[in-house]
Amino acid sequence: MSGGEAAAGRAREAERWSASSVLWIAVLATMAGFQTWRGAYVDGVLFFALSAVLVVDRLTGGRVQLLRRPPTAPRWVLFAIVGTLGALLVAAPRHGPVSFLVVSAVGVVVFVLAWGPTVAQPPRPARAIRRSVIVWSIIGVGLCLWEALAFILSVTAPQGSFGFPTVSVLLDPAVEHWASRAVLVAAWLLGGLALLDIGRPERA
Amino acid sequence: MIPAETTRAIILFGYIVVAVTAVVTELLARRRPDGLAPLGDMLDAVMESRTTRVAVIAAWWWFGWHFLFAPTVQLEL
Repeated sequence: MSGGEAAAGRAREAERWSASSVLWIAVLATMAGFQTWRGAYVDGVLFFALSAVLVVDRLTGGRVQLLRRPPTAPRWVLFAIVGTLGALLVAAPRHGPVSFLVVSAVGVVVFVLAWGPTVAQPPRPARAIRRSVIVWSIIGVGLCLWEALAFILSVTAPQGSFGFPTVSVLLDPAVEHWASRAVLVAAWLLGGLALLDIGRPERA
Repeated sequence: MIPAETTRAIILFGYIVVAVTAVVTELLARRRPDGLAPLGDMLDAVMESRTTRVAVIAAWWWFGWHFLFAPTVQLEL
């Protein structure tokens, strides 16, 4: 192998196992372990499976494609579908089969969409992006650690979940009431549309 | 033993600090987006990687799964 080929191989390997890829897979694997430990076995299996799929994707150099290009649909069709799903999630019993089917179907669809190619966005300066990544990572990790601390103390200290409430415990009453559940459902679905970068007008 | 009301207030204060920090960060970023990219622009940039995109979308989806369907699991130790 020539020096040039070796250097190209190292560059491909570095791109394949970039720091962000490794960190995100580690985050998902950590989530899998934490969910399994707290007894949410389905959540644990899902996160373990996702971590494994992403490892395989990195090992195969991202060659497996599910979509050739991002699918498009008229905005009114998109919002009609999302509105119907939202209405079902608000009207159906929270832990019932309809909620299970809707949330699961959303999961499958967004996985396929997220796996597919994306349209490159006009970037901010790299330094601004890097700072933002660092600041939001600190905020996100801070929230996760505080939540984990509250959860561990809630199951080990005598004050229990009243004295050490997790976000789930705090939001439970809101999710049980249809009006506040409607707000949460709308925020969740619109957040998903924004993350998938669909349904919003073209930017200049 | 510290009363449960006190520990609850401390935990809630922590969540509020995180929320306020997030809001202030985003407001600062929108004032000077070329110094600190707003959250949306940062996500646009990092989500060009498939691994990051799938992981971020999975985290978002899990919130829906957790809050809108799955019962809250309380571990007994």
